[in-house]
Amino acid sequence: MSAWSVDLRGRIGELTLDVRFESSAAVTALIGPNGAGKSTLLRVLAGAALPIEGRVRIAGEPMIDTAQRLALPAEQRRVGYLPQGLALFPHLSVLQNVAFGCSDLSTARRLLERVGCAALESRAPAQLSGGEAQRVALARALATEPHALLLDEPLAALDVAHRRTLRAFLAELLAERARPTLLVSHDARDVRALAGHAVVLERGRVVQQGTLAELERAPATEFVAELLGAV
Amino acid sequence: MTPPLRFSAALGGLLLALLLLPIATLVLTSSPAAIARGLAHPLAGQALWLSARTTLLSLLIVIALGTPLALWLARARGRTSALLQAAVELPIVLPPAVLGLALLLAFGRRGPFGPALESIGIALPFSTAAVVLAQTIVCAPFYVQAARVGLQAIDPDLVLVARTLGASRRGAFLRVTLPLAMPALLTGAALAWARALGEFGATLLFAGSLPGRTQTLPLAIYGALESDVDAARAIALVLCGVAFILLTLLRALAARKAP
Repeated sequence: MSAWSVDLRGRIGELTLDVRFESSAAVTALIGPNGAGKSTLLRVLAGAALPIEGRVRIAGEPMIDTAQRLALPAEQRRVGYLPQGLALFPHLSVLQNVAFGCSDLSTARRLLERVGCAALESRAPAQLSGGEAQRVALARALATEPHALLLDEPLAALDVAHRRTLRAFLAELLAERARPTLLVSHDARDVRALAGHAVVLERGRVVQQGTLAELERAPATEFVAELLGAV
Repeated sequence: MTPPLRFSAALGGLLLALLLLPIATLVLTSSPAAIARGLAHPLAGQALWLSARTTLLSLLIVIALGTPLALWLARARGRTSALLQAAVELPIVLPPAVLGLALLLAFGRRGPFGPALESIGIALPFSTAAVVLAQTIVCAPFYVQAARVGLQAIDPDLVLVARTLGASRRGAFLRVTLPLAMPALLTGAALAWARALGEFGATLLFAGSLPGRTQTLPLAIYGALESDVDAARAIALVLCGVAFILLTLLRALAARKAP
């Protein structure tokens, strides 16, 4: 059974999305240049109401099937979503953020401890450093025990040292419990460390997909060659 | 102070004096006894009560209908949205007398909607309902505009994340959108209420100035001026006090909004 089975078409603003891919890997990397449609695709998968047609199955569960008039609302998808800007609720404390979806403070506290942010629970999101905010947002996404994860550049905006620590931590966290994860990244090191399969998106279309070894052996575009050859 | 700055201060000070002198005169030349006498005037009490009732009702109508409109405008894109926004802002730039005349022509006895309303027993012109309608129209843009700007500033990912965490559409609105937009909504409501309270021109043309029925505070000032200057002054002072409280509230809100 595929972790991700995606077949979508649609025009969203300036972007024409035409995406087809399947992946059985626990973690699938979604890579591509800026403006390729990666974040838009993640929003569609998370449940944003955007004009789109086609089918999406996550771990075999149908999420979207426009032919059957199915578009599961976001709250029923059980998909954890970590957007690029993190979207921590600015009016709530760190603890309230993490407990937003589980309304169980002990679960929220346990997760904050797990991500190493237990001491920050009463802080406002604005008072967190980049790395702390990233960890808190991750804890919040995990609090509802989602069946799948959508991570939009979870390691962006971090300095090299923090990036390395958080990458190791994320790898550990993702290995802890296998659940389909789609990870957007611009960094070959993240892709190598975390993902088994990669899907390359350019101008709204999938231009290549496969294991990292396959991509390295025969990069389909300049972008792929440059990204994977960079390290 | 450098010479150019001194020059700016001198010119700016002149304008500031023009802004404040009349109000200062109004406040400083009133004695407590004269105010008490003025407020005891029958017109003052009636107008105060009428203004309180009508402005509160207009504000409630504007919030109930204006919040959904602002939500819609905040999400709309393209040319239609620009046209809708211009339509909403129209009452801000149109002279109130024009609005009053337009209301009279539309809902008056011989207007296109007059006979239909009359057939179900409603005669709008020169009624308290006409006061509310005039206030609603002139004050709605202030609320809708502030609410739209506030709602547009909210990152759509905040709402989407809330939904993925299990919140329904309504739940995400109540727990995320509404609290984040609240300073903007309150600012808009305060501005709209101030505008409704000060409404004069459209009300005079469409509703007239009937004591107890359509004579609101600004119309009562105008009415009392001929017979009892103390009453006019007392009513004006009441409006000044309300304006001062609103201004303080707005500044507090703005300060809270700024990080």
